[in-house]
This record gives sequence, C-alpha cells and structure tokens, in this order.
Amino acid sequence: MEHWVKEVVECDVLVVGGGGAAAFSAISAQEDKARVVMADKGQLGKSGCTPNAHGGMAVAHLHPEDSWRVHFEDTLYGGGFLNDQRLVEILCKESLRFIPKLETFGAIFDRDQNGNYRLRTFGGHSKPRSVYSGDATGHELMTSLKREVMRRNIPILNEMMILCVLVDEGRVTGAVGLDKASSNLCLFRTPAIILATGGGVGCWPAAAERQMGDGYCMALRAGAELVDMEFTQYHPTHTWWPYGVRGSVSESVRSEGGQLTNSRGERFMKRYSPERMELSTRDFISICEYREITEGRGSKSQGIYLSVTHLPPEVIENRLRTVFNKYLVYGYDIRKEPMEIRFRPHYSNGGVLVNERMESRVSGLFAVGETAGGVHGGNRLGTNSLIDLVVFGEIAGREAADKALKQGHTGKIDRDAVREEGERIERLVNGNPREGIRAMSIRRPHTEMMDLYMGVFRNESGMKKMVEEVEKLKEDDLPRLYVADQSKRYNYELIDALETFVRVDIEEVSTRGALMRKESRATHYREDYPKMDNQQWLKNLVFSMENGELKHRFKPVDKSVLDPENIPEFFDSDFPWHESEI
Amino acid sequence: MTAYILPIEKPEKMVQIHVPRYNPEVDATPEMLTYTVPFVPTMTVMQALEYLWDQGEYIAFRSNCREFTCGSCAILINGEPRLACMTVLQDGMKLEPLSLFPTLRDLVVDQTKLLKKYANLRLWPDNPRVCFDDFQVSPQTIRRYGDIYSRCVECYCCLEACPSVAVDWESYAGPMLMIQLARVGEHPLDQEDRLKMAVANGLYLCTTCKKCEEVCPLDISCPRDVTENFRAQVVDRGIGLLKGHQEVIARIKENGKYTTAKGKSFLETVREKEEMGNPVDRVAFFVGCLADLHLQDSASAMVDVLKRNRVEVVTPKEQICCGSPLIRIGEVGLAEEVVLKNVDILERSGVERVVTICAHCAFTMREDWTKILAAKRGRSPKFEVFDISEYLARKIQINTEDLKPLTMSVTYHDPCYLNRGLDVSKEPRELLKKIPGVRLIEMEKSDRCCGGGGEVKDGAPQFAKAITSVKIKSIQKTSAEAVVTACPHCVEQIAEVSADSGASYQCFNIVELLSRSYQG
Ligand SMILES: Cc1cc2nc3c(=O)[nH]c(=O)nc-3n(C[C@H](O)[C@H](O)[C@H](O)COP(=O)(O)OP(=O)(O)OC[C@H]3O[C@@H](n4cnc5c(N)ncnc54)[C@H](O)[C@@H]3O)c2cc1C
Ligand code: SF4
Ligand code: SF4
Ligand code: FES
Repeated sequence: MEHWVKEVVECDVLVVGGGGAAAFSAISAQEDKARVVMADKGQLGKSGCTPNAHGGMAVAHLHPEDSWRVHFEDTLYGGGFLNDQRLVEILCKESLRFIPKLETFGAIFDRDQNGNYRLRTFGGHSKPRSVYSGDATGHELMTSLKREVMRRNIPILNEMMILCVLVDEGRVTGAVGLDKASSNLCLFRTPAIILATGGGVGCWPAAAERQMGDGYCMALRAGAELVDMEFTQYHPTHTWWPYGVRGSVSESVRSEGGQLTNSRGERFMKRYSPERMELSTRDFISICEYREITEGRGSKSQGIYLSVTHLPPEVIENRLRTVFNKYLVYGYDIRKEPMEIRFRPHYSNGGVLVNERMESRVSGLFAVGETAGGVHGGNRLGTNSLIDLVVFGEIAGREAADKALKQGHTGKIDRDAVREEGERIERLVNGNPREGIRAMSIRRPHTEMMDLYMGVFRNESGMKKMVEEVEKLKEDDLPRLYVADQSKRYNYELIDALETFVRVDIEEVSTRGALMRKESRATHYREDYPKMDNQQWLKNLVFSMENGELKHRFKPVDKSVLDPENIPEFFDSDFPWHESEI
Repeated sequence: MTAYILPIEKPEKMVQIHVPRYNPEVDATPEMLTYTVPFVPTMTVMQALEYLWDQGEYIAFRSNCREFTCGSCAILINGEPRLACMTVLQDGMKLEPLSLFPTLRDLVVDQTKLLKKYANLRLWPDNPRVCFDDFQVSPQTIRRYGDIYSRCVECYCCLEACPSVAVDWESYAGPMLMIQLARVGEHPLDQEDRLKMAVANGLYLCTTCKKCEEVCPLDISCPRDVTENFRAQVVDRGIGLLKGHQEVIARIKENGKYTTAKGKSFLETVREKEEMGNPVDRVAFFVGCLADLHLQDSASAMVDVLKRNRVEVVTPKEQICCGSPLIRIGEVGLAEEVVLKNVDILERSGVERVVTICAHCAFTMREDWTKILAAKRGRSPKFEVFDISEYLARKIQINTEDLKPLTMSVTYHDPCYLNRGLDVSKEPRELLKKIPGVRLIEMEKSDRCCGGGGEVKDGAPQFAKAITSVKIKSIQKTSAEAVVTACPHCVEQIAEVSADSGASYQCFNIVELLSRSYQG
C-alpha cells in the first residue's frame, strides 16, 4: 500500500467537494470543534455549479400569504410527492436565518429602499420568495463561503480528486484521493466524510458538463444507497445555437414575452398548453420541444427557436441585459435574430439516501447538496437548491463533527482497497495500446447516447438499448481502457479515464431505475407510460450495490407531514406535472 | 429520435491554433505545436481545446463553467490575457499560459502566490461574529456590489496585464485585489481599516493606465471604480498622502500649476491670438502644465502646426492646470475649483473647439470636466475638446502639401489616456504616415503604460521608472531613431529614463515632428 500512497492526511471530518454545500459543511463542522479538511477536484470557489447559479435562493417567506407551509407544499407538488417530507420541513422552516448569516460572511443581497430583501418568483413557487444578488447569486454565495473558509483557516486541498471511501465494518475509516498536480495518491484517515460533490448531469450533454457524479459512485461503492436516481431535471432553454454561447437562457426571457417557435414559425406551445404557453413548467416545455424536433419541426440546427425580436429593443437591452450581453460577446444580436435553444439536463434530483442528520446507512458517511437525495423528490423547484446547500450543509457539518468527536478514529484502513486504487491507475497508465481504448472514445458517444435514450422522453426499447450499451461498456471497454499520456502532472486524460468508471455507475443506476418506473411523474416522462400512477408508483426506488452488482428496493414515500392520499386533486389525477394551487 | 448532428461535424472551415506544449517535469523548453480544428461561427477557443480533447490531444487547461462565471480559464490569447470560454476562435491564434505565474503544464499555471496574497488581505468582513440580524445596507452599496464587486470572477486577467504588478507585485497588490479590498471595505459589517490596507498595498502605485479595464472580461474598471475612490478617501481622511503629492496639491493651490518651470513659461511668451484671414476654423489651445513649463518646444510646434493648417488659435493666458493630477491623487474638491475656473476662461474666449497636446488634459476635459460641470452647474461645457491628432485627422482637411520629407524611422508609443481613454490610436499613425520619408516601426505592446501617468511619477518616482524601463526595452528593440508619442507626460518620462540609461533615440510629441516637416 505504501508504494502507492505518497501522502497521508488525518482529520476528524473530510469534506469532499468545493462548492456551496461543501464549504458550508466544512464551516459548520469546524464551528463544532472538529478538525476539518476539504478536498476539491477543482479549485475552491471556481468549481462545481454553485458559482454558476444565477437566479436566486428560495428563503424568504416575506409575502403576506407565504409561510414555510406554503413553500413546503410547493416543493412537494414539484417533486411529485416523492420528497422526504421531514427534510422538506427542515428546509422550509430553517431557510430564512441563513441570509443574515451569509451576509455576515460577506455576501450582499439585493434590498429595496426600505432595506427589505427583494424577491423573485420562480417556476413552481406560488409566491415570490427567492432572494438574489443581481444575476450572480450563486457567485455571491460562493464568494462569501470561500472567504469564511479562509478566515477559519480550514485546510483545502485543491485539485484533489477523491476516488473512493474506505469502510470497515459499515463504518467510514478514510478515503483515497488523487492529486491532479502529481497523480500521486493521498490517503485520508478520518471517521467522518461529507460527500458534497454536486450532481451528475455531466454524463449527459449538459451545461454543467464537468459534474460527473463522483459522489454517487463513491457512496454506492461504500455501501450507501441511492434514491430517485431516475429523475434528471431538464432545462428547456439551454443555449444551442450560436455554437459558442453556453449555459442556460434564463427563465426571465420567457416571462418578458420571449416566444418559442418551430421551423414553421408556429408558437407550438399553443397546441400543448394554450393557457400557460411559454410559461409552462420546465419539464413540460422540454417535452413539447422534443416532440417538435422529432416530428421534423426543429430549427435549423435541430433545436427550437426562442425569439425576442418582436420585443422593443429597450426591453431587451434593459430587462434582458444579461442574456443580451452574453450573446453579444459572441457577436450575435438577439434583437435581430432568434436564439436556437434546446432542452438540456440541468440537475440530478436524486442522490444518496440520507436521514435527517444527512447520514447515509454507512456510519460516518454523510451527503449534502446535489449529492444528497430526498429533499427535492422527483423534481427540484428553481432556486430551492442554493438554500438546500446551506441548510443541510450546516446539519451535515454539525452531525459529522459530532460523530467524529464522539467516536474517534476507530476501525482499520482497508489496505486492499487502497492497493486496488493504485493498481487501477497503474493498469490505466500501462495499458496495452494495441487493443486498448481511450477515454474520449467512450465519453463522447456515451454522452450522446444518454441524451438519446435517457433524455427527456423515455421508452422501454431505448432504455433497454442503453442498458445494453452500459453492459458493453462494463464488459468490453473498461478492461481495455488505457491512458496514452504517460506524464504525472495534470494528466487530464487520466482524470477522463477515472471519470469513465463513475459514468458507468451513474448510467446504470439511472437507466435501470427509469426502466423500472413504469409511469410518468415529475421529470421522468415515459412515452410508453405517459400517465402518473399513484396506486403503483407513489414510492421511491432505492439502489445499492452488493459485490459489484446493483440491487434495488422500494421505499414507501414519507408522509409524515402531508399525506397525498388526502389531496384528491393530486392523488386521483394521472397528470404527471402538478403545481401547488395555494 | 435520431441523434442530432453536432454543429462541429459540419464546420464552415478549418483553422489553426498554436499551443506551446510543456511539461516542466520532462521537457527542457516548451514546444510550440500547431493544431488544426474545425470552425463554426461563434465557436470559442475553449471549444477548440475541447475538440482536441475529443481527438485525444489532452492539452492541459483549467475550466469549469464555460460561460464566464467561474474565472478558471484565463490564458494568453495572441499575447493578451483573456477567458478561453469567452473568446471567439480565429485562425492562427496563439494560446499561452499566463506569464505572471510559473507554468505547471501546457496552459495550467501555479497560482499559489496569488492565493497567499489573497489570504493575507483577509478579504472577509472583520467583526466579532455575533449574530447580526438587523443591519442596514445602503442602496449605494447594493448598487456597487451589483455593478462592480459581485461581477468580478477572479480570473486574474487584470493582474496579468497590469504594468505595476509586472514590475513589482510585492509593492502593488494589483487591480483584482484592490477591487476585492474595496468590496469588503464597503461591507456594512467590516470593521477593519481597508483604506490603510489599500495604501499599504500600493494604492498610489497604480498608473491609472486602464489596461486592466481593457482586458477585464466583465468590463470592471479598477482605476475608475476603485483606485480614484480610495484615493479620494485618502485625501478626505488625511492619511497616507505621499510627499510628492502634497507638493503637487500645494503648487496647484498656490499658482494653479502642477509643476515648476524649467526655462520660461510658454504661456508668458505666446501671443494670445494668432489671427489670420480666412481661417478654416477657430480654436482655443489648452496648453497643459508640462507643455507650458517643461516642454515649451512642443507647445510652440502646436501653434505652428495649427497656423500651417490655417486654423486661428487663441491661447488664453490665464488658463491653469486641467485638474487631472488632483483627480488622480484624490483631491477632488480642489479639482472642481480648478475645472470651473478653466471652463469660465475657455468659454470667455468664445471658441467652440478646444485642442490639446496632452492625453491627460484631453481625457480629463472630456470626461471629468463634463461630469463636474453637470454636477455643479447642471449643464455641459460650451465647447468640444479634441486631441490634436484627432483634430487634424478627423476634424479638418490636414495640409499635406507643405509637408516636406524627413528621413527618419520612428516608433509610436500609445499614451494610455489617449488610446484607452479616448480611443484615439489610429489617428496619430495616420498622421505619421502622411509625413514623407518617415518610416513607422511598431514596437511590441505599444499600448503598454510608460509609467508617466496616475501621478505615480510624482509620488513614487523610482517605481514609475521601473515601469518605464520595460517600455524602453520595447522601444530599443525597434532600433527606431525616435519615439513619437502624443502626451507630454509620456515624453518627459520616457526621455528622462532613456537619458539615464544612455539610449540614443530622440523622444518628442507628434506635433514637433509635424512642425519639423512643415519647416523642412
Ligand atoms: C447554470 C445553472 C444555474 C443554476 N441556477 C440556480 C439557481 O438560480 N438557484 C438554485 O437554487 N440553483 C441553481 N442551480 C443549481 C445549483 O447551482 C446546484 O445544484 C448547486 O450549486 C449544487 O451545489 P453543490 O455544492 O451540491 O455542488 P457543486 O457546487 O456542483 O460542487 C461540487 C463540488 O464537488 C467537487 N467534486 C466533484 N467530484 C469530486 C471528487 N471526486 N473529489 C473531490 N471533489 C469533487 C467539484 O469540484 C465541486 O467543487 C443552477 C445550476 C446551473 C448549472
Ligand atoms: S490602471 Fe493600469 S496600473 Fe492601475 S491597476 Fe489597472 S492596469 Fe494596473
Ligand atoms: S476585475 Fe475583471 S479581469 Fe480582474 S479578476 Fe475580476 S473579472 Fe477578472
Ligand atoms: S470556464 Fe468558467 S470562466 Fe471560462
């Protein structure tokens, strides 16, 4: 083992990740006197999705008709009642006190002349309750968290990719990481680990293409369970053409009057949702776009047109300033030409199954943020994520510290597992080029396949095809995978190869889950089962891994606060997309 | 659904990019390699790098968001620091790692030094961390956070480009860190004296050259939004003002001049009116302190050039300093007095156009005067201001007939306040090309600050000279016989440091070259 490991780090709590959830967990764990170390695959403050979130965070129930309970119900309707209601209750009750806390760390949120927070309304929220900082809410949040981490002198290992969690008799004992700068392995000895590695939509062609779902894979392999992994949120207006522009086009374009049209210039939403038109939910619009494209009415580049050319130029220049400027950077004038957009994966709704302490079934293994499942059920409402990071970050940090300090460093380091990591890397680097396959030859086609078969519109034959592809990947490709680049410094090909292993698990869990769920609900839409089926499917699908094989079980949904059976408008309906009526 | 065709699969054309591949662990030096990539309209440099990854060429580079919000992907593109995800690909582009940091591999650099500086500045609100549930944030703070501070993605482009950081990063923390200091200083819960920290970190070492603003992908301006603000606070609070700057303020207070005379003042000798029959235009000449007191030849040349172009010149003798040094130092109150006085003097002369030979005067008159007048008198000046190159090239038909050959090779230095301040860089070059026999040799980075601005040369002369030395190297590389520029501050700074280092070329204002050519 020593042969592989060049560095050993000992701590009470290891936080894996460098996004909002990771930073807040680290702060909270240190507050509770634990010795914390953070390890981030990227660079703290620059990695993950947190700095890229624009819109806002749903925290403030300041509207006279708003309350934690209204927020709670909105969240459940959005999630198709698959949410863990205990977690949602915590989210909605705790949220408001975090805003002053973040401001104490250095953030500034928009306020009106009287000093009250300004609020935005987002899809699925029945009241305006999202606090924001211009169009850079996530960036502002991350800036303040990063500085609080620095103020507390919490050690942060940047560009350290954690590869696996070490477990002894159902208890966390450590982790193995790869230092990107040297390709050396680092062994962490720790009784508590918080996985805050974000989502896994990078397995699809997504905006957040760098987020591969490492945490899901590590948790699964350490013995934890994953829940609701068949639910991937699509964003309906993701940039598509012009080619250089990346990321999503804010919902505000549609709320200001932007029109979705097909190749015939028809506002096709009138056929699907004549009342709400462009303001329907994210998932529903994505599905309509899909239909238009498949039926041959897609735009020039096989997307959909999103046009604001009919709006007065002043409206575009002022109220849609961010989007307008973004396109202008690439020399494209949206006052004159339509954008071509397309639905794109945006968020992993499911994740590691955790309890109210954010702990998985592996003692000492915590998950938080997009890595954790349960809070958002089958679909996350816009702006519910950023607040999730801090509310549950605080809990995860506190509980992990508590566990570590009470339990201390017990249990053995699984030397075999460490050796396996070392050997895996050696195999990759010394693989046989003649029969070998390189990571990029897997990444690109698989990304496209996930879009094709596991996209916004799913059916049995497509998903079966995908399962076959995953099997092929596991059996034929993985053993042949090799890395042509032999150097140890910043070997991005090696990272790409290691991520291929993660991809296998994410593809398999989500496809098998989606294949199993024979209904449509929230972000999971099946062509062959287009209706919601509350009799059969008001339950969560949970995956675990035993001896390298996936196992599944069903878990009844949590009804501790609100029983959907008592809501006939929801329970008796078979329409997959509901919104709170309140 | 059939798989869609990626736009990159039907490229418009193929283009080439050049990237130095380098792994210091094994390579002695970087090897510049050329790659051919498909191009689709608006495709970015980052997409080209990603395309190469897909082909198995794993050029090392950092990235994350790909939509200019994380600041990970700054590299040098054709020598300028830019975000790879924000830069549209062009044929022949050269991509290099930022030069401010050691290269780790290919385009990846070691930012440890920056992170240390960052931590040392303690950029978090410094307070006892009791619970602050109810504190006020002023609307102005919210606006400044939204417009400036929150937009900075910490990409380090500005640090890479800053001439002051380049000569001594230990003394001057650099634009990004100044912006961050201002950010936390404006936070209502911060109790630390950020102004003192700014001064200790080289607040007066910024030449206000605006290079950082030019390269900032988010268009944040450190000199305008941060440096001058901080400096105004220095004067307000009476802390940390440098001796040289106190003297400048005292001189302007006393006799309206920024410096003391070397030789006879031009304004004392000049004829107030140069009348002529049938003039093509009538202008006032705003001389500026340096041309009046140190570089009298350029002022005389200016009058000569205008006369030869049949422009009637009025040179009001009571004119005083334009106020630029005061604004750059932070003495805003006195600057306002000076400006209003000058406006009255110029308006009394009844001209509609004022011309200058000083980039600082031209910029200050056009930008700051307009603001001050609007604030104080609710109106704009009754005259327009032009730099002489701009005036000759755009406003009138320049007399080229009388230009006689001058056999000389020259290189042109772009004054920051003219080039980035007023977007005048083509005009002087056009004029140079009109002089028969003059051969223009462009220097490397002609737009790089010479160290003459921002009042650094009066406050910290040695530091300014270090910046000038970098400039001098690029001048010398051209082997030109003369360096021509369009600002007395640049002329004086370059000439002085060149003389110290024994350089052989001459250095003068462009009007002097024109005047020589007219005189034959
Ligand atoms: C364009 C966009 C806009 C959005 N807008 C909003 C919004 O307005 N409101 C809202 O609430 N939500 C929004 N979201 C969603 C929200 O930003 C994310 O869900 C949230 O930031 C996730 O935070 P996180 O801390 O869980 O993970 P992330 O911020 O994604 O961080 C994951 C971290 O884990 C690290 N990591 C990954 N793998 C490893 C490994 N193996 N070892 C070590 N470290 C690892 C990464 O480097 C990264 O630092 C948006 C998302 C996107 C993409
Ligand atoms: S204005 Fe010039 S000297 Fe000042 S910070 Fe910007 S680049 Fe540096
Ligand atoms: S000020 Fe601009 S250039 Fe400088 S770090 Fe911030 S975003 Fe980058
Ligand atoms: S990749 Fe984030 S700024 Fe370019």
